[in-house]
Amino acid sequence: MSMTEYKAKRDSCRQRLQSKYDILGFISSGTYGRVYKAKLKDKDESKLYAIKKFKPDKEGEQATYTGVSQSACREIALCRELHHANIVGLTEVLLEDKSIHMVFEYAEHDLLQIIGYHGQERKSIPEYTIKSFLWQLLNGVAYLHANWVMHRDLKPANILVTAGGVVKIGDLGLARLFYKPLQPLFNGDKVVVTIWYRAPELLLGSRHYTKAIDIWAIGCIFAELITLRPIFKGEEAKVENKKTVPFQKSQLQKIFEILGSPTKDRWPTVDEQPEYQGLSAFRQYPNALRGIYQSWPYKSEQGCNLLSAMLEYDPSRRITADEALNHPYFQEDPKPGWDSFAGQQMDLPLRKITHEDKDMKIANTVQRTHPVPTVKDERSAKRPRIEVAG
Amino acid sequence: MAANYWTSSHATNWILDRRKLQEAVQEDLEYVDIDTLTKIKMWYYNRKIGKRLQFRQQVVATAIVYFKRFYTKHSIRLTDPSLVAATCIYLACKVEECPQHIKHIISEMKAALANHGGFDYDTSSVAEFEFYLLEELEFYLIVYHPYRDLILIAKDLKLEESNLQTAWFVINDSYRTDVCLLYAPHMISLAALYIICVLHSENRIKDGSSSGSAGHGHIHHSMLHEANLSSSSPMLNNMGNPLHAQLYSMASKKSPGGPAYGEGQGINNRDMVQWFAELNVDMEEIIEITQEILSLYDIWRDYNEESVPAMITALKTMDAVKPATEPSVSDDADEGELQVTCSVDGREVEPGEMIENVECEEGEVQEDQVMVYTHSHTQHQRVRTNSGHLQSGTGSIPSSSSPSTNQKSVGVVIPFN
Repeated sequence: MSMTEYKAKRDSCRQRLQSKYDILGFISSGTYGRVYKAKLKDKDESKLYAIKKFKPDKEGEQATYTGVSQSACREIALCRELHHANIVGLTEVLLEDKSIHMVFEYAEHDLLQIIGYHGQERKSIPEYTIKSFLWQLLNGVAYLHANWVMHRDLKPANILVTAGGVVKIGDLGLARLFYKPLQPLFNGDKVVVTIWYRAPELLLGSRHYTKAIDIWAIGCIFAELITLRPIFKGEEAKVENKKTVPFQKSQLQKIFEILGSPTKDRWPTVDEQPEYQGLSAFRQYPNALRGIYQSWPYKSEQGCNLLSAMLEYDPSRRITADEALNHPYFQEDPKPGWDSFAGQQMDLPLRKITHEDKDMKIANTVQRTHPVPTVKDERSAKRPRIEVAG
Repeated sequence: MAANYWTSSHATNWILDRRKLQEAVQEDLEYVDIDTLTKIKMWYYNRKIGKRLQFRQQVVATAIVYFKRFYTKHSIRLTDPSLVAATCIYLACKVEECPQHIKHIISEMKAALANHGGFDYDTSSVAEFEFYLLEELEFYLIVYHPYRDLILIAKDLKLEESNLQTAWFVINDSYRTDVCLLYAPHMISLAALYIICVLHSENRIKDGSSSGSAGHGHIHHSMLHEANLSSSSPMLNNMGNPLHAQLYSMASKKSPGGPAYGEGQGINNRDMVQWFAELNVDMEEIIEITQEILSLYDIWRDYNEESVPAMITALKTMDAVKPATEPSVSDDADEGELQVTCSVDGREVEPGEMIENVECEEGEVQEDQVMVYTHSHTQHQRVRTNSGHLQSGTGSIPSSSSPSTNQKSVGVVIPFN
């Protein structure tokens, strides 16, 4: 029983992606596949889209079906349900050429690009803009958490910003529901969150981590928006075999140098962490965050309070997204707004696209022989990321 | 979404009405009757695959919902339910965050179906079909189940462990009906509790005592439990009728007051009645769900797992059941009006008309029922006859309630066996 009749019926009513959208160019590529900028063929529609094409699995030169990856599955399942101004909107999913194509609303910028641009120009991001980014980011994460969704890979590259200054949290490929999980979260993915944004409980091997890991990452992003460089820029110890997770000594070192040592006083259950023994290798550091903060461009006392509340060692004491939204920092002038660029001279460059591969034919295997240099390719070479297993 | 069922795709896109479900089975019903079709589907829900893979109930439940959603759009006859089932399981495992290797699923499928037609698919055919399945599910993958609500309610009611267990088993059974396509999960969990409640009072009535005893809850619990573990055993056989009668009478009174009053071990029925009365839910809907679940036990009574593969073969290979009389096509249909033309014995019958003495060729009518079937895909009704006589029956063709169509229809009366 081959279901030929059924398949023929389904195939005949499927609309081809390129009969509906014009591909304007190629944006970036990653382990998952490639992203393209597109618009509807309809001349009256000016709305832009980002089409994420998951790379098909290859057996030799021939694309084959090997099953939808866990990461694509999560992203589809969650994006299809989530509707929020600060979460990137999924318009539709199209299946063709043995690949999944997720059509998202387009965002002109992302925090990595904005941080990079300001770093290069040696100018700070305006305080209003930072506060608006942070507030909207917390707003989106509060929505995720209220819906029992953990993002698990918050970092500047995944925080998109529209031309109108609205934050859109993207890349939910590592996100998952945490309401009464059937298995401990640790059993599913051994490593979550890109190293520089990874919370201390994860670095110490915690089996039952919580949504507080997302808040830690937001704290790191907040600091990076102010200083234009990662606050805890450790060297990632590489995974040697799949069974064991390496001890991230360098990353912990960077955290301790700024926040001080994680004492039992600051984190009462620190000695219950699986990798607690590893802490004896470090010397004692005092908490230097407040002093370091004073050297940064914006000296709001409340800003410093909020940052240290997000970078609390003890996950149960770390501020929640809801609490953070009500933090006095957001009551102070300048108050955050929906257009993070309002009244600011940003002069941000537009997202670079290349005009080849408009027929979306370049597959990752081909790419190896004809490398396509892109903004993200260059920067991701320097920046760590999470490799999501299929 | 996850925190709010009401804004989820489950609530907004995947609660269907009965007409939609009727349309879905139309094609298969040209070949087999509704009870047979139900048994065929039951066979797939019931395969040992879930048990073999030691899946958690939630994974199995999600897979079944995917399977059911798929079959609201396609017929069993033109598809292969074993491939659909395998793919549903594979996808459900990923969505419920306990992924299994595709090869593992396939080998378990092969083992489970070894003596039942086999499973002749490899990795790439299951993975290819996953694309079709995703499309049919409209990429809505997150499914809500009554279990979560049941646990919350049980906590609120301080329900005894054994009663919680029984309600849990009733919910398991409910996945063999269509209630998960028709009603919100929390309503299904309430219906499960309602059934437990009624079981208790039934038991007390039979016992002739209102005091209750320690064993009370467990009598029914073990009965249900037994039935659950071996699906071929008759369910609730010996109490089916009084239970039905009681439920029907409650439904007709449209009052929540079902369970008898009395103090007993396990469930305090007075509290329960009070509790149900104070709920701001549609009690009629709960009773509908209850009836739907109980009618499953009816079908289950003569369900024999071994006989199903033959039914499936029949469905796949058989020509359409031969109509008792040749269909007559009417060409002068008024636009916008559903044209149902049924010929019985050469005489045209109108929708809604009483048919008397339906004459069928001897041997074709096995039961005292005829079914009126139209190709309009909007109407499909079984006409119950009053007499049990094989050769005659009285019934009425339900008048058209269809919003469609100016489509030309062919109506036939076919024997219902």
